[in-house]
Parts: sequence; structure tokens; C-alpha cells
Amino acid sequence: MEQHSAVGKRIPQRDAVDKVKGSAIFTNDIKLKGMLYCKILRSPLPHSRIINIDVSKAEKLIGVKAVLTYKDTPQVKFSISPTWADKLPLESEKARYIGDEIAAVAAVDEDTAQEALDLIQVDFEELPGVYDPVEAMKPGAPVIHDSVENNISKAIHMECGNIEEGFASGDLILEDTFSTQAQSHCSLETHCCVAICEPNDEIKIWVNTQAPHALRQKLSYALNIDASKIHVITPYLGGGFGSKIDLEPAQAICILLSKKSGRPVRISNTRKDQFISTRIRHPTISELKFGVKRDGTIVAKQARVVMDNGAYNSHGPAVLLYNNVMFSSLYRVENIKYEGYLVYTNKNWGGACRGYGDPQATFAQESMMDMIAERLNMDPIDLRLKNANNPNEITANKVRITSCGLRECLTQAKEASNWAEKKETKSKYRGLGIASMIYTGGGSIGSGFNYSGATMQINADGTIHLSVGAVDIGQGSNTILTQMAADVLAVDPEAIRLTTADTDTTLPCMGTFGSRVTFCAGSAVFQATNEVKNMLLEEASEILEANMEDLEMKDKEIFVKGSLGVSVTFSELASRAHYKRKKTLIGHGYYNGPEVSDDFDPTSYVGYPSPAMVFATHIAEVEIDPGTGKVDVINFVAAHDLGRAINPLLVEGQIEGAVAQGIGWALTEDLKFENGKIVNPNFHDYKILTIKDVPKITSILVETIDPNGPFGAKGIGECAMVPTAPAIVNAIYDAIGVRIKDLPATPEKIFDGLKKI
Amino acid sequence: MVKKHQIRTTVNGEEYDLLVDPKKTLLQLLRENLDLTGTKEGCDEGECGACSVILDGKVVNSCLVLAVEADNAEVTTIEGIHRGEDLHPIQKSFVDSGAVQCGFCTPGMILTTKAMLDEIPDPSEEDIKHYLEGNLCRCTGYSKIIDAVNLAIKHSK
Amino acid sequence: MKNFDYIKPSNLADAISALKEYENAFLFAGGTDLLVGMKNNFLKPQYIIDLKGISNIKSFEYQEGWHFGALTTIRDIEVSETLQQKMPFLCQAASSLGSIQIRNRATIGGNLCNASPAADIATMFLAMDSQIKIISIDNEKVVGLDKFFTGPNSTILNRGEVLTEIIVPKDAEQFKGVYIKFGPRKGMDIGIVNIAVLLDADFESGLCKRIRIALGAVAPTPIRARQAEGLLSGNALGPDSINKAAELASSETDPISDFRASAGYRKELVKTLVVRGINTILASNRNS
Repeated sequence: MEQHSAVGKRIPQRDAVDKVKGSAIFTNDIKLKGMLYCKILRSPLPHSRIINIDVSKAEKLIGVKAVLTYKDTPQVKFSISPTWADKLPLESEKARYIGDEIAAVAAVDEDTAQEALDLIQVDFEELPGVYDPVEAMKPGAPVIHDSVENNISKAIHMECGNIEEGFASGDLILEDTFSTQAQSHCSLETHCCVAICEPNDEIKIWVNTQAPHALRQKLSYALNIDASKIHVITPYLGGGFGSKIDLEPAQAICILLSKKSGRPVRISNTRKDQFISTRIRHPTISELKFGVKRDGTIVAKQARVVMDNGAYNSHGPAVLLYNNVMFSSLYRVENIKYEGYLVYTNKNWGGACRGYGDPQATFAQESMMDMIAERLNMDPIDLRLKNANNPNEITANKVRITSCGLRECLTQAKEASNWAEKKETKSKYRGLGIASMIYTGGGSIGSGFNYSGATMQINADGTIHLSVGAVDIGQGSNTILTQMAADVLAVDPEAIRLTTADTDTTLPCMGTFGSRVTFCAGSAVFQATNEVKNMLLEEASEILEANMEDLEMKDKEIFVKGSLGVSVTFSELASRAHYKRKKTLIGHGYYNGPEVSDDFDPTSYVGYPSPAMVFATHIAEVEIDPGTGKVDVINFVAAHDLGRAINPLLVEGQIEGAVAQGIGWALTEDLKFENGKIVNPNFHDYKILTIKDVPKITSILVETIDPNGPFGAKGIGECAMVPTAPAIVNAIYDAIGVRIKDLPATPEKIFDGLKKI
Repeated sequence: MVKKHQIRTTVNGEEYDLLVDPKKTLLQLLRENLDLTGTKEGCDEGECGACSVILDGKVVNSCLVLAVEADNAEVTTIEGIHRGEDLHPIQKSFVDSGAVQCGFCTPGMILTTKAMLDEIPDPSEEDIKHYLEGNLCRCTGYSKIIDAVNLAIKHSK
Repeated sequence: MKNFDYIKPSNLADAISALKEYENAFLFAGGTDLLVGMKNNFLKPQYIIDLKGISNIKSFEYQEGWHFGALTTIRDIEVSETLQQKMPFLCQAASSLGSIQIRNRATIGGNLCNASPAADIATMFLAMDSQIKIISIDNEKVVGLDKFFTGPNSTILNRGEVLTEIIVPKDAEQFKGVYIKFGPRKGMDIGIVNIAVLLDADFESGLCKRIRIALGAVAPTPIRARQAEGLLSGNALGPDSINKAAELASSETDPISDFRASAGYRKELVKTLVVRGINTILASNRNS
């Protein structure tokens, strides 16, 4: 058994002390001299043509320093990539949802900025809106983006094997439709940025982004400014869950206002702004058809998915691809057909949201699996074991699986939940439900990029300095990346100084999303630290006149094995390197993988190139109140194949938090629209779980030691909410025989279901 | 023009004489005038608890208190509970239990816990949940926050 | 938030004259509803009259019935040992309102005057046959709480009038009671349906002497289910009679359908919760 000094240890977050003292500086805590405050005028209509914008009165208001409309902004549309570009920082011709950016003001305080907004006169010509993606696809529906036919932003048509033959070979065909609702990320910290435009046109922006380096590129593109002139800094960040990956119109606006006013400008979303203008989880309608043999073998599966894009693309096209990939690659099925449509509507736009299209796919598929198990009179776990993915397997849609602990997840979750016994002694209104999932554990290079850089430097005084472009959004990457580095150098993780999330001082990293930081940034850190380790050992072997293999490191010293007292310190080695040999001790690490295979199809993501896939099984135990339909989740087991837990304490934190978010999505969270308008844009009526609502969650960490992951680790951030909702919905069915096919499973739906039995 | 009000208030043991606009909230006063940015704004509607402070011994949402109301009052914020370099036992428990992820809800969570333990030294799990229901956390699923509170109770015995 | 002037009178007379003197003046108690309304620009007062400087309306005492000052906080009621002994159901209703942060600030007077159809403490006070004292510059009157609410967020209060006291008749202590709030979450929820049941019964024989049922969030104001009460009062409490009363209570409601719940579901919930409320009281008192 390998010995690890830091990896695998339950170490509290290295930033936690700053955070408990209240001394951690978040973006909204930054106040610069002469700073102005920005407010944005948003469209009150779901769909309209902008006829005229008159800002003259606003400009005259005392305290207003700059007013911005589309006339002041470059007319470059942006999105996750130029291919999908459809959004301007301030719209010029049309407003496409309630909340669309029309104009902005920078003033000496927020009240003045708000007052100025009221003085801006906008003439809109109201256009008919469309809010249902199925309606929006029909011929004759209102056109939201001029060039987009039937409002279909992206369509996927994929077939693997032979779907007709597949269905023909089955003994049982099951078909059903499942739908999911919009979810809001609800990070406790809202979006915020502070920008300053220097006289030499260099821009500095403090911003709570999950991807500072990628944001720099996007700002450069959208604002037509050389990337080298943009400096993005991310202070402490108060939660993201996918909401802080995009280039936000507000960020571009903030920079342009700073440029126009010559002063620093801050924009900070209110909670309502956050609900009505930032991304949401895409609602979906999934029509599934499964063919199975009597023994439980799935011989064919088919999905037709309509995904509600909202008014703009953001990550939508990629989310639809992930919906396909994850649907298609869970379980060994030879014949698969997937048809997916990403459809514009006049509503808030979807974006990246923890799980990225997978929760929607998994809710549908894992509900269907339960329905199949029932029809076959088979234990739902056995059905899943029968079809489970295996290590070192290539799926029908050409996804290359390396490590795979799905079977272990299934069996260990079964045991921990006391499944067999509880099924035997089932009491009325109580039920157990299971669901599994597949997801990426290291992002993907499908877009062409999956990069993370790191540098590791030993200074002349012996201090160890790690720099990474990755940003800790609360999940604890700062802690686990230093644990990895500490392990390589056999030092205490606290001995490592860390710089992160600054585009001027760190190597590029795509960002914190796609459950990629542990794998990708971890790989870069591992490489950089090993490079420095070798430099140290080389230096030491010269000084100590010993072979490198005979050297050992501990507490910033290098010893000759077996020769007590013969040692040299990091400081001595670094001093010698610096001053005598005029050489720095800097190691570089850079990850950008995996290699893309020839069979990769970027339009459908057949051959989806992920460095490693992760697997999980959740088992929920629920109790239903038959008089009201209310669900009480009383027990929850979450078994996760994560390769290796670099820090089990933080891994549990990821699982517990994600499961809570998953229970919320399953039961209480529903961003509701009436004619394109969100009717519950507050924590009063958009119900994330409170401390009273979350059950005890038992986490099981299945360590499959991935062959390519740093220390065998894979990602955990997103996947832990993916199978939660179907596990709960399956448990509800087990308890009372009511099958909820459209989320959330509200008391009212369950109550109605009970009446129909 | 609205009339500003002269107030005298004690924040973290320090006395301040301040001239405040009636519509300024205590949250704004702390963050903007006193630079005590450890108190966080999560919703500004009393729904999330991120801005919790202790006002005359009681935990309140500082976004729903007017600054003028702090006249002759004592306010404790997150910056006021550690003792010199040493963390308050509750702060230490939050660190050690892994109860801190993004840290945005943490100051409010800790102050509410402090108000609870000042009032109920040995709370049951039900008491803990009842006291903390107004402090939303989106990262942790609350499990490790309950661990932290229990650890703090243990430390205080 | 719009600009306003802040006035803090130190006695009731000053508050009332300020209220009379200033146009568009709002009384400020705990502020937990008022400030939210102002931040959202639903409410745009020019003057705020803070009542917290008035010391004699902040507490409660027994004097031929319970007299609660309008500025008594919800938390004071929740944790009062006396009340927990005498009228634990009132403490229970208080305990289910908002969060500790809200309960530390919110007042019973504010809860009543805000007149939310789903108000927790209002529903309980309604079941308790409470009366309220209203004072104006030249008048003082006591009216039944059941006459106070006129619709969502509206009451009989006229300009210049202040609700100063809630009076609970002394016989309230003779009842056993329960408060149930039903919402999708367990914490910090507003009710889809709230119910307060007070029962005075011979628990041995199951004879209902008197019963009071108040319902929240199922009509424009909190209401009493008088017909259901009439059906049970003086009669034996059995599964049939309780079910019938629950049906009747449900028929007395007039809920709306909104994004929180449909009217039909709210009506069904009333049936469930009336039965549950009565049975909860029966179960916890039969053995004692």
C-alpha cells in the first residue's frame, strides 16, 4: 500500500479561518476610491422590438456619471463560443425576455443609479411571445432570433447500432414521457464585479467568476480589446454551481461604464436581479422508449428530448450534447437513438448548472429503469447490475471508460441502506428508491480545450509557492491542490503558499466547472511539483554525493536514506541554485486532455472525450403523508466512484451539498413562469432547503484509483446531485404507487396521484 | 431633503457617533460606513440570514433593521467575536468540522449559533435546527454545520 | 427604497398625533414586513413612525384576560414560560413564524396589521376569540378580531388609528389547542394552509364542549369555520362527526389558485388538517 503524507487526509479548508473571521474579501466587499455604482435597465416585456431609447433625462440627473446603451457598445454577439453567439451586452433591436439588458447607468450611489433608470424612456413595440418550447418549434410560432428557423438553436440526431433491430429483439417495449423544471443556482453570493479602466486602456476587473482565464478571452472577444490588456482577478467566491461561468452582460457593461466615466465601477446583483437575469437549469421534456429482454438486458433505448433554451444560448448547445452523452453512455446498450432539440423561448436563458444536462437525462432514464424492473418483476438493483458499465469499456456511443465503480456503488449503497431487509419489511407509506448515474470526472476536450496550468516554485528562502489558474468556488480546490503538492514534496500542506485565479500571475486554466479541477488542475499541479522535486533531488544528489534514488524528502529537507544527519534543506538547495548556478527552481505543469479519438463527432458528441468518467448510486428512503402528499426524505445513501478521495472531509461536503440541491430540485424548487415572467424571484417562494429539510446523508466513497487521474482521483463536484431526484421519485413510487413523471414532486401532485389510485 | 439622524451605537465594543440617513439599513451601515464587510448581504429581504448580527443580545437580520434603530444599542458582528488572535470556539468548530465551503453564509451561521448558545447552552438537535432554520446554506447540505455546532457545544462544556 | 423621514415618539399620544399630522405615514413595529415592502417599492411611505420607543405596548400581562401589547415580539410569546403553561398552542403558533431572526423582531401587532391571509399568529388569535384595542386621537374602541380583517393586506383601521393591544379572553386557557402550518418545506415556510384548533372537551367521554377552528391562507383573510364548530360543539367527537366537520370547514373556505397551490388542493388540505388537528389534541389529552 502506497503511503501518503497529505493525500487522503481529512484536512479542513485552508481558507476556512479567513472565512469564519469575516476577513475573507469577496468581490462585493471591494470599494475603490471614486467608485461608481451601476444599475441596469432591463426589459419589462418578454418579446419586443426596441424602437427608441432616450437617456437624455437620466444623463442630466445629478450624480449620474455615465449612461450606456447599445450605441456605446461593440456590436459583437457572444456566447460560450463564437459559433453560438447570440447575445449583446446591451440589446439593440429586440428584447427577448423579461430581464434583457437595455441600458445601464453609473452613478455616485445605487439610489441615484436606480433613480436614473426610471428616467430612461424606452419605446418598445410589443411582439407576441412564446414560452413553451414545443409551441416554439411549430411553424408559425413567433421568431425569437431572426436567423433561427423554428426557434431550434441546435438539433442532435444520433443513432448507434440499429435501433429498429434492437427494439425487435426485445421482449418488452416501454415508452413514457418525463419532464423537468427550471432550477435556480442560488449561490448565496450574487454576481458582482468591480472594473477599472486605466488611462492606458488596461482593464482590471475583480469578478466572482468560476473561470477567470476563460472570462478574459470572452471579454477580449466581446469588447474587442486585446486580451493582454485585461486583468481578471477573482477574490473569494461565494458559490457558483455553474451560474458564474458565463461572460455576463453585466461584466461587459461594468467595463464599458468604467471606460466611459473614467472611474471604477461596481455592479452587484440584488437577489431579485439574480433570479431574473442569471442562468437557470434548462427545463426538458424527454420521451423515452426502451426495449428489454425478459432477463433484464436492455437491447435498445431511444430518447427524444426538447430542451427549453430560453432567450439565449449560453451553454445550451453543450448542455444538450451532455444530455445525450450521459443518457447514451449509462449502461451497456448496443442500440441507441437520440434526437434532441434546443429551442428558444421568451424566457430566462438556461446555462451551466451542476450536472449540465445530466440530471434531466438521468431523471428520465432512471425513472424508466424502475418502471422496467417492476414490469419484469425484478429487483431494481439487479436490473441495474445486469446492465452496468464495466471498467475499460467503450460504450456504444464510443465513450472510453477507464476506471468504473458502478457495480461497487450499487452493491455498497444497497448494503448501507439496508435495502434487502427494508424491502422485506416495507411499511405503508414508506419506500426506498434507487438511481445511478454516469458523468465526467474531468471535464472534456470536446470543445477543443480542457486546459489547466500550474507552476511550482521553490524560493531561495525555502518557501514553496504554488500558482494555479483554477479558482476555488467554495468546494475546496485550494486545499486539495496543495494537499497533492504537499504529498509530492513530503511537506505539510500549510507550508505551501498558494496563488490562484489571477490572469496576470497564474498559468491559464479553463476554470472551475465540468468537475474538472481535481483531475485537470490536479494533474498540472502533480506535474509541476514533480518537476521541481526532480530539480531538488538533482541538486541534492550533487551536494550529498548520492544517487537520486537514495534520497528522501521530509519537512523541507533532503536526506540520504540510512545516513542520519546527512541532509540539505530546500532553502540551501534553492539558494545554491539561485545564486551560484543562476538557475530558478520552477516547475511547470500543464494538462489539456485527453487525446481526441478519430471517431469523435462534435455535433453529437459520439466519442465524447473525457479524461475519466465517474459513477454513483443514490438510495433514498421516504415517508409520505397521505393526507397532504408531502414527502419526508428520512434516509439517504450516496455511493460515489471518485477514483480517490484526496480529502474525504471535503468530498463528503460536496456530496452532502449536492444531494441537498438534488432533493430541492426533486421536491421544492421550481422557478415558475407566467407569460414569461418569473413569479417567485425570491427565497420566500423559491424554496431551497433549510436546515430542517435535509436528512442525514451517508456518503460512501468508492475508490477505484483511476489510471490517469492525479493520485488516481476523479471529479466529484457536479455528479452528486445527478441521481438524487430519480432516487426520490422511485422511492415515492415504492411507498405509495404514485409515479411522478414531471418534477418537482410537489405534495399537490402526489396527493392528486393518491386520489387516482 | 430628508433629515439625517445622529446616533450613538456600540459595535463590537467600540462606540461610534454617526449621522445616518433614515433609509440606511444596519447592514449598509456596517458594511459601508464601518467597513465591517464580514456581514454579508445574501437577499436583503430577511430570507437568508447571511446578514445576521447580534443586536442587544438577539440575533436579527441586519438588512431588516434600520441604522437609526441601532441608536443606544450594542451590535456584535463576526469581526467582534474572536479573541485577539484566537478564534472563538464556535469559529474553530466550524473550521474543524468542514462546515465552511464558500463561506458566504458562515458569518451569519456563526452569529446565530452564538446567540443560540448564549441562550440555550445545551441545545438538542431539534433546538439547533429550529434556531438555524433562517440561515440558508447552498453548499454544505447543513450536515457539517450541525457537526460544527455540536462540536462547539462540546468545547464549551 | 424611497426616501422617508423617521420619527420615533416616546409615547402613544405622540405617535397618534404624528400619524394624524403627517400624510402617508406608516407605523413601524418590527419592520419585517414593512421594510421588505418598501425595498420592493410596494410601499412608499413619506414618514415612518417607529413605535419601539413606546414602552408600555411591548409586553403582556393577565388582567381579567390576557392583554398583549401590540409590540410584543413573536419570540417573546414563543419562549414565555407562563404562556407555555397556560396556552402552549399560542407559543406553538409563534414558533412556526419565519425564523429566529424574524421572530426576534416581528410583533403581534405588525402581524395582524399586515393582514396576510396566511399570517400565523393572526390565525391563532382568531381561534382564541381575541379582541383588539384601537386608539385614535379622540376615540378608543375594542373590536373582535373577526371584524378586523377586510381582505388581503387590508383591515378596518382608518388613518390616524393605532392597534395597541390584543385581548385574549380569560377562558382561552381552558382550551387545549394545536397549530398546524402546512407548506412544502419544514423550515421558514409560509403556509399553503394554516389551521388553529382549540378544543374544550371531556376527554374521557369524548364530548366536545366547545371548539374553535381558524383557517389561514384559504380565504382573503384568516377565517373561522363557524359551521364546522357548530356541528361539533356539544356533540360527541367520533371519526364520523370529525370527518363531517372537516368537510364542512372545507366548504366554508374560499381559497385562490396561485403558483403555490390550487384552490382545490387547499380545500382538500383543510379536510385533512381539521381532522388531524382535532385528533392531535384528542391523542395528547386522552391519557393525561
